[in-house]
Formats: sequence, C-alpha cells, structure tokens
Amino acid sequence: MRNREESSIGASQISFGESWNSPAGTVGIGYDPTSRKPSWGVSYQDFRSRLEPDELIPYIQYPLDLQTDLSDVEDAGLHSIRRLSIVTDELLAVFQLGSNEEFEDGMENQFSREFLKIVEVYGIFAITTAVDLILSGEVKPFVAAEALQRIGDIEDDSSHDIRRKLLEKCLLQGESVYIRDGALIGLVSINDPATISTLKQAIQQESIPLLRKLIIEALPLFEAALESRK
Amino acid sequence: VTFVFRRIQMGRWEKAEEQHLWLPPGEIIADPMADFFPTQDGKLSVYLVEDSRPILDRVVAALAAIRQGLDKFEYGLMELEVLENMGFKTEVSPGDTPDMKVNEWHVNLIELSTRRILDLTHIFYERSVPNMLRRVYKPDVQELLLKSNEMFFDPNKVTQPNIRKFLGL
Repeated sequence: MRNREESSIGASQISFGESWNSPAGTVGIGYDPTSRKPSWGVSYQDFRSRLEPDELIPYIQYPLDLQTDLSDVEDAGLHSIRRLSIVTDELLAVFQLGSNEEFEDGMENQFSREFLKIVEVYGIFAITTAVDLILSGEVKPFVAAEALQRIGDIEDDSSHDIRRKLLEKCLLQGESVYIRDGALIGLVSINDPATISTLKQAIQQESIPLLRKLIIEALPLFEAALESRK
Repeated sequence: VTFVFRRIQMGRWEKAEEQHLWLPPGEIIADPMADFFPTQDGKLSVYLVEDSRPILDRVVAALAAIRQGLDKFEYGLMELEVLENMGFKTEVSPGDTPDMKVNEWHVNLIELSTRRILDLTHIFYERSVPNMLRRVYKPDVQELLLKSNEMFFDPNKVTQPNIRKFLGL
C-alpha cells in the first residue's frame, strides 16, 4: 500500500468523476456499469462522470494500480467510493421496484416515493448517479422517465443548475424517447431560460415527430420565463 | 366541429412513432391501445367538446381535480364525425367531476369489441398524431385548477386530499 504522503502530495483536489493524466495514462474515478461497482484507474471513457460539488477527493499523483482494493483507495482518502457504491445499489433496487409498476399521471406510485427518499438522503449525489444509470441503459426507459420528471419537480435552489444540466443531457442524449420526453417534462418544471439553446438543439435532432412537436410547444414557456426576468 | 376528448399517455404514442423493424407493414405497436382501456361492459368514457381553449381547459381542470395529485395532463382529440362514419355509437352518461357543466359533456362510446378498440387506436394514430395529441404541463394544470375552482367547481365534489389542500378547501 502506498503511503499517504506519497499519495496525496500537494493541496490540489479534483471533483469526483474528473480525470487526470498520469504516467499510466488517463485516470479517473467513476462507476463501472458492467460490474456495477465503483471503478478507477482505467481510461476515462469507461467512466461515468460524477458531480458532487461539495465533496472533493485528494488529488493522487501516482498512477493507480488497477488491482487496488477498496481499502487501499479509502486509505488514499477516497471516502466517496463507498458512498457511491451504497447509493448505486439503493437506486438500482428502487429502479427495479419501479419496473413492476404502472405509472399514470396524477396518481401516486411507490417508485416515486422511494426514489425521492433516496434523493433526500444523498442529495445531488443521488441525482447524478441516477442520471448516470439512466444514460448507461441500466434503467427501464419508462421508469427512467418517471425519475426524470421527479428530478424536475424537486424544489431546491441549490441543485437547480445541476439538475437542469443533467436533464438537458438526457434530452439530447437519451436513447429512448421515454427518456428524452421525461427530461423535457422535468425541464419544464425547472423552467430556466438557460435551457432555450438546448431545446433548439433538441428540436433539430429529435427524430420522433410527436416529441419534436412537444419540444416546440414547450419553447414559449421558457421564452416567457426569460421575458419575466427582464 | 365536435371532438371526442380522451385522456391519454403521450409516451405510448411516441413509442408508436418509433421504428420497430419487427412490425408488419401497416401495423403499429400495441402500446397506445392501453389508452382505450379500461372499458366496462363494452363502454369507454369520453367527453364531447369543441376544439376551443376555454372548453378544453375546463375539461382538463375537472379531470385533474379527480386525480390523487398535481401532475401534467395529456389528452387526444378526434372528430366525432369520423368515428360516427366508422359506426361508433355514443350514449349520454353524466360525468363525475366537480364541474357540473363538464359532466354534461361526458358520454360513453358503446358497443365496443376488441376489434373496435383496435380500430379506435388506428384511427387516432392516423388522424390525431401528432397535432391533436396535447399536453398541459403541471404549472398550467395548477393554474387551471385554481381558475375552475374559483368559477366552476362544486367544492363538495372535490374529494382528493392533495387537490383539496392545493385549492385551500
């Protein structure tokens, strides 16, 4: 095991999910969707980004050993790893629960209650992890859509920008039409004019006519929000 | 022009617009059929309306008031005449919402067989997608609820606890 002095030289810190160059190549910390475990030490393309602004980990200046076990990483001060594993497992369980439910507008469902409980406990960390799982194809699209709508509904100014950016990412990158539409609904709830450029991009690239129409119809809601801010 | 108003789930119709290579030509994925269930005794609950904003808003508010919570509302419209020409029949049957006028607009499509539900799904897909499928987002639903509560609702008929709380009843 490497000693702490060697492993945390300097005061630099990176956010969870960032990558950096080492003699071994690009190194990152993230979630491995295949093993469903936190991973590190492989190329950044294999990682899913994490955003946790208030939780930073020590910059490590040596190349991480691919065989490093969890205790070694924790020794290096990467306490977030364990937390990521827990929240990932909890989210996967609740997404599984949701896959057995039928969702109907305006009707309560157990999935949403349980999902929001996790968000309440883990905050933005749970939201970024959930979006990560959704975009990596780990979640049934109709369940993902429900989660994205609930993410938009959360009344929390401190996570406003991150939630908006994550939903915009889902609108542009979601493989399923359910995911893209769920993101749109979430974005309407947030109703931030900063979304306008993303909506215009989504209109250009959306292949499903009905969803494209819905995005076009949603645009004035954001433009009205922009006007009201002037 | 009189339209048949039916609550739907937009995602099912979006799914129908996706390409599914396994589908035989001329067929659509079965998901949207779920919007024409449940039937009871071969009858399906719909509303007869004009395509006018105040009327549609009023129906949306009335139906949103009988749900468990505040949420977006999605519906589809189809010309009644088209359905009548296809042999669909209606019967008058008062609705059960807090808005008495909206209740008068309620009818049942009757004598529905599995084949007729299939026909209904296809005709909606061919004639109503995408322009006659509409979505009202949650903030607008909230606004419509407040307006209808002020102008049209019988407060005693608003029974859902979350809706009563939102309306201050």
